[in-house]
Amino acid sequence: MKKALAFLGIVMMLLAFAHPASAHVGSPDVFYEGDAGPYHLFVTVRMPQVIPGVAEVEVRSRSDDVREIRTAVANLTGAGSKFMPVPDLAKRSTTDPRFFTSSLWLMEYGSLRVQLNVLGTQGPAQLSVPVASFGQAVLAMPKALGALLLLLVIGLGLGAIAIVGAAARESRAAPGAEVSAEYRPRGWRAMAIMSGIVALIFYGGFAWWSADANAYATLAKFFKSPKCAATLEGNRITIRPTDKIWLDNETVENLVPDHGHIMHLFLVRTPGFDRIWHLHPERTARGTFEENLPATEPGHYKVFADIVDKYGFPWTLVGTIDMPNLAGPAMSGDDSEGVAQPLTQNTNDTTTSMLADGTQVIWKRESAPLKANVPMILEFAVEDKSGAPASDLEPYMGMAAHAEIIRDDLSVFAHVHPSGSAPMASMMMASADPSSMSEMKMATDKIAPELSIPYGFPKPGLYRIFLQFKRAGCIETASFDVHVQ
Amino acid sequence: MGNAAFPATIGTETRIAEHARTQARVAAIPWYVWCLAAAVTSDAFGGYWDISWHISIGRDTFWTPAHMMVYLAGVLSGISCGYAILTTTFGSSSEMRDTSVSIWGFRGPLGCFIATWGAFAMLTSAPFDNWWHSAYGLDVKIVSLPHSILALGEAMISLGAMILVCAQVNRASGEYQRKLDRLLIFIGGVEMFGAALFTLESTPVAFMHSAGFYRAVASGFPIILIALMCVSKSKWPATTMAAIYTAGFLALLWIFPLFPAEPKLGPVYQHVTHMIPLWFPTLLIVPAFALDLLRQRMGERWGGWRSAIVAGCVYLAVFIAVQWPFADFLMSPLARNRIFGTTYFGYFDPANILYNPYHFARMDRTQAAFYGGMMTAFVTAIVFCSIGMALGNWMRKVQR
Repeated sequence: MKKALAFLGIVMMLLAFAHPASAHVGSPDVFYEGDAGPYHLFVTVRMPQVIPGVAEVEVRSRSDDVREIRTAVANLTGAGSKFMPVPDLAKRSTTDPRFFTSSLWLMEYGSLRVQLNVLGTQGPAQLSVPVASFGQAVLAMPKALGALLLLLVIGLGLGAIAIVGAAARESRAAPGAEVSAEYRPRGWRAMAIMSGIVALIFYGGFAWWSADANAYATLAKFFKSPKCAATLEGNRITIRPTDKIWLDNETVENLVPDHGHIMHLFLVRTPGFDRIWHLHPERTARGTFEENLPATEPGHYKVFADIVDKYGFPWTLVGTIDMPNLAGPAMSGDDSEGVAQPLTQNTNDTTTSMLADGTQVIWKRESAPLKANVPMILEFAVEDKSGAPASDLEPYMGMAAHAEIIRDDLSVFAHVHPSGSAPMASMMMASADPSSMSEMKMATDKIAPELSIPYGFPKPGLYRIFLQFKRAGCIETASFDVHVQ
Repeated sequence: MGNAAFPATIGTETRIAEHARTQARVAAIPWYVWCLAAAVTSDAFGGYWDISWHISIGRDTFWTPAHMMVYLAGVLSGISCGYAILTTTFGSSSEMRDTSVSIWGFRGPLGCFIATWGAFAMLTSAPFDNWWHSAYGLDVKIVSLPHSILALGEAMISLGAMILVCAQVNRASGEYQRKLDRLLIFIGGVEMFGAALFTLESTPVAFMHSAGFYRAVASGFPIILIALMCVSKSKWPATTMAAIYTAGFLALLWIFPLFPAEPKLGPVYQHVTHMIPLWFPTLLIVPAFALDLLRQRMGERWGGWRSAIVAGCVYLAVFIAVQWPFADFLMSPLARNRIFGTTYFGYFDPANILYNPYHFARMDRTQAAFYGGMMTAFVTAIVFCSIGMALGNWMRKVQR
């Protein structure tokens, strides 16, 4: 990613277009579950609509031994990652002593990290959470405020005209003297000229505003997931980034592997989301990502391609592809597929997923409807065909599980893990010591059959969750549906 | 102009003569004039403090002391102008009514109306700026539309103060006039200080070998300098105003770092332990001195359009002659100390990390672009000197 210095040494040094991208699709908030030393925390960073803007940080401790949490922001890597600002003391809930909140200014676009300084009965500890910082939308001006401002501006315009008129008409008259007939026409002329000037100023002001608004809108639009072209030649799929602004500011050479792969490609058949492929194309010298597809079923597929740049910023390229009936090689490596019932508006919430080999996955959720924008831990239990807890789970690409969460209208796509919504590559950068990944919920050789994934659905609607894990060398994909209110 | 309170039997000339005698007797400048001058000063100092706050600490609130200084400017101007306008409109003082203008049924000194307009512009900018932050991000740049409305309001308060004093200077004589003249020049100096703040984004050391820097200096200062040179009876008005700006910037350059501060926003690129001041003042005092000499030499010819052309050329040529080599010095290791302050960087400035701050930025892509830009700077200087001359000629005649 190209860091562009917008300025060389003056007041508002901003990194313009530093890391323009969007993490996931339509799911900007950051969820993280991990350990700050001896303290187990669930962290949610609610991202602001605009940058610079205020992010709301919510921290829930699993235990009562956390006394104080302070939060601060730094760059994830490189310049600006060495020094920390004075951390803010998070506010402790008066009703729930395990819950802390803090408001943090995010001043720059790009890969940032929120550092939590935790103080508890077991001493001080730290935790860094990677955050992808970008503007999301342009807010419209409320009508009442618009009317008020219009009124004030019109008043200022009329006032300026009146003052100029008085200045031309009366200001040079001697004290106590009557305004001469000579000055009165001058007053009218001055007011006429000033009216023109005021009109020009209004026009120029609105043009300036419009230019700034358009520039920001372009930026916000740009942060929406960049487009890619997905093409098929034989059974070889090629993913090519096509978004011009993205290509102007990013190169595929800048990408780093995440979970051991340079790209995580998800092909989701639409409508219905009844087939999903999780593939891992290789980067080529031509700036594309290619792979020989396994046998796939025909249909119209939505393409989500997750990549991470060397600054730790996650992108999701989006596109579509029409696939024929392909007879490819057998699935291999970390590639996987999932099969589910077609999703329709009549689909009911599901909490159990039966897989072809008899594996049963149970979503242990409360019966009450799930609410949008509420951080939660999605908890799943994996059972073997006898109904006993599965004892043969293995790490799947370094994690206990991967989950793809998709809204039925494709406006939300999130690829999340037990450690949270940030890619593992970003988490490694955020960790002070990348070798100490044990602090995150990294999978070890022994995986418990209870899987948990922190997440918050960004808006109401019907969602499908694909949960992927590995049992005895075989990658499994369970699916669940949920209506979120 | 109607004046019911004044006996109709007394003729205009008699009233003017009586007014002059009254003014000559009065040695004290009205409190509301001082109050407005204090507002201008508070606003300029608050502006400097606020910028320093943003580059040292970053996060602010409504209640920061720097903001308080700016609000104080609004309050002081509101009190002074409100008093002057209301007492003139509804009071019985014939002298105040005789030296007032009429706008929308109210009477008062023209300067007070202008300053009141400025205060309303500042008020208007507040909700607009608040929404702007929520829509496009907090203070992404200094020169935004709402900030410009705020700056326009501040400038109008200053202009109002200048015209208020100017009218009194023009009506006064003797020691009282000299006292008012000194106040006028002080306000002009503070205004130059404020203009330096508004052109800050275009005038860092790294830009001092670029045409854009000289265009900014050509547009930022001449109006005040030239206009008040037309009005002031002093021998060295421009030099004094530039000296006030220079002294203000130097004092704050040397004093601000004495106060501890730490950034409260991230990312942090520089290890900041104290308030970061703004940079060394530009050498405006030299072209200002040259302008004073020019005015003395031109005598009665000062004020015409030819004098504006000459003043524009002299102003910029002298400025280039001194600032260009001085910029070389500021870039040198000799300036990297507390006296010249080229080692101070805001917490968000990746100086010495992502770029070398001791190299001039190449703002003009080609030699032709540079020379074209410098030509534009000269034209700009002439245009703004002409505006200043026109404003000054008018201000010289303002009575109310």
